[in-house]
Amino acid sequence: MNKVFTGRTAVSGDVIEGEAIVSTMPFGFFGGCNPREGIIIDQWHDLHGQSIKDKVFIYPEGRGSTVGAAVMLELVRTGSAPLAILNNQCELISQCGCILAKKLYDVSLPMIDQFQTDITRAIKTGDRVRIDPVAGTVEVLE
Amino acid sequence: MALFLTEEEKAILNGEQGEARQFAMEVLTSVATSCNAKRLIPVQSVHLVLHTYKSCFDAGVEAAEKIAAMGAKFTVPTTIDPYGMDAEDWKEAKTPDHYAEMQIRLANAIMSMGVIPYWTCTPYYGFTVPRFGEHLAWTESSAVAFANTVIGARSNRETAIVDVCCAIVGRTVETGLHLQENRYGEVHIELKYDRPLSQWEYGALGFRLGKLLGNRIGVVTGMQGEPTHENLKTLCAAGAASGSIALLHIVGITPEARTYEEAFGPNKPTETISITEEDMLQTRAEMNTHRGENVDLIAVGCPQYTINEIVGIRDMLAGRKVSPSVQFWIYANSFAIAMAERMGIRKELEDAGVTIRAETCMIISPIHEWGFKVIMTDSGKCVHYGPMECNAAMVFGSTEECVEAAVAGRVLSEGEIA
Repeated sequence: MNKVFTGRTAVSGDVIEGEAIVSTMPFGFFGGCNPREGIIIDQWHDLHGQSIKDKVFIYPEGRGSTVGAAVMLELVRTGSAPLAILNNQCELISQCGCILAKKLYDVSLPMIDQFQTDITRAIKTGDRVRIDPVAGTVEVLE
Repeated sequence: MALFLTEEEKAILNGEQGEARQFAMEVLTSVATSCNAKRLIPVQSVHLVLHTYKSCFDAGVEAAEKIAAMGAKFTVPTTIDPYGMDAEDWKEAKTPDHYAEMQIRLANAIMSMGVIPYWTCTPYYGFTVPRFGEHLAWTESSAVAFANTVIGARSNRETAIVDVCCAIVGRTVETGLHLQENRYGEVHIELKYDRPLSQWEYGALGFRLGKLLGNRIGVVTGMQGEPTHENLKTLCAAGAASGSIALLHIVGITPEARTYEEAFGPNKPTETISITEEDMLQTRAEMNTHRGENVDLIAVGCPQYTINEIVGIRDMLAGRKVSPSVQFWIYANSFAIAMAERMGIRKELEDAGVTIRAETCMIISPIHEWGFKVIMTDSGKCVHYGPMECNAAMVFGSTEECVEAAVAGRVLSEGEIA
């Protein structure tokens, strides 16, 4: 039986499967990652140098500049965005980035938060996960 | 909990008032639903951050053009952050051609929607001065902190592009700092000072509070004297950059913090943090990412300088010239520059070797093209963003120390300034 975690759907989207990349540090997209490659450039971040492109990006909470949503859109425009974002508690800027990705580029970038457990400890980098944004569930695939 | 919409808002959402308003309403209702808001609220003004190619990239330009092509028009007074390059002479400011082309495309799209082209991070010195209790949809983090902290207006840190939607329908989502229950203090900051802060200490205090508070609301006691609005502008900008300060209660200054009790309301402080003169010296040392006396550029005006601050630089120079071995730039908006011209000060400054950078900003213009290795500034905000956005090591000092460095062509040690 696979482990399933249920949270709150912050931004809905399509069902996807992918590889998780997990950080235990708050993250802001502006100054946080290269907008055309999805490589983490924040030198103080625990994922510095790694790519979030086509991954399920898991971190505790968002922070930072209000232009973060534009960075997310540039990731979407260049095909470098993550597949989904999972937070313990999401904040408005990245939530808006996910909403605008759908509205302006018709790209599904779902976001789920408020799980019953600390999602950054429940899932490990490299785990394969299945996200159902409508149900708000994350299944760890064996 | 379902989102309540008025009849008019429903009509906008159904497309009865055109494609652009429908798009904007779809975005706002999605955001409102995502953050469990009960309703949307009217705003008196909007301030945009979709202002520079440097921070909004091709996607931001495309987004602005897509929304403009829907026939969007702003329905409330809407201002915008600094221009992405020197507005008077971008070529002389070493702006790459492609960058300039994208900046002009972005500006044209936003201008077509009816923005007031007051390219400034300080819209509160202008045509949209907020009043106490007024709801705003502003983005620029330093301006949001100023509006909430100094004026007692109500704005969250709105998000880029969503801000454009707010301007199109004249509304924002009722969440966060729009609601009284979210405006009370959480952490007590006790200044252990028996004197008013000196000028550099406002920037350093903001920088330190941003790191300490993150997005929590601090209540500052012990601030003495009569800080100028420029002092508070500097403080708010630094705290909004090094942390996410959107509202700081400074007891005796913030309109909602006439007393300690009023600032905390029903809350009890979760923590009390003392700040001493020693702490501020330590903060100053942390803000400097450069040791040594060499410097390439002295840049002031982040947030953009007021006419009062420009006069101050003229007075501190007192007829002396900038050393030919360094650049000394003042960033200011069109209003302050116009006043400096009328007062004859711009010419005095330029004759002394100072460059006025018009309507732009050191962080969001392509300053890295100059290859400056070390930048000195009086801005706690610029110190935070400089290493990432300007590829330079930073030196922080008072305005007076910046002027002395510009004249000497090097950073002076404390004892050298008379």
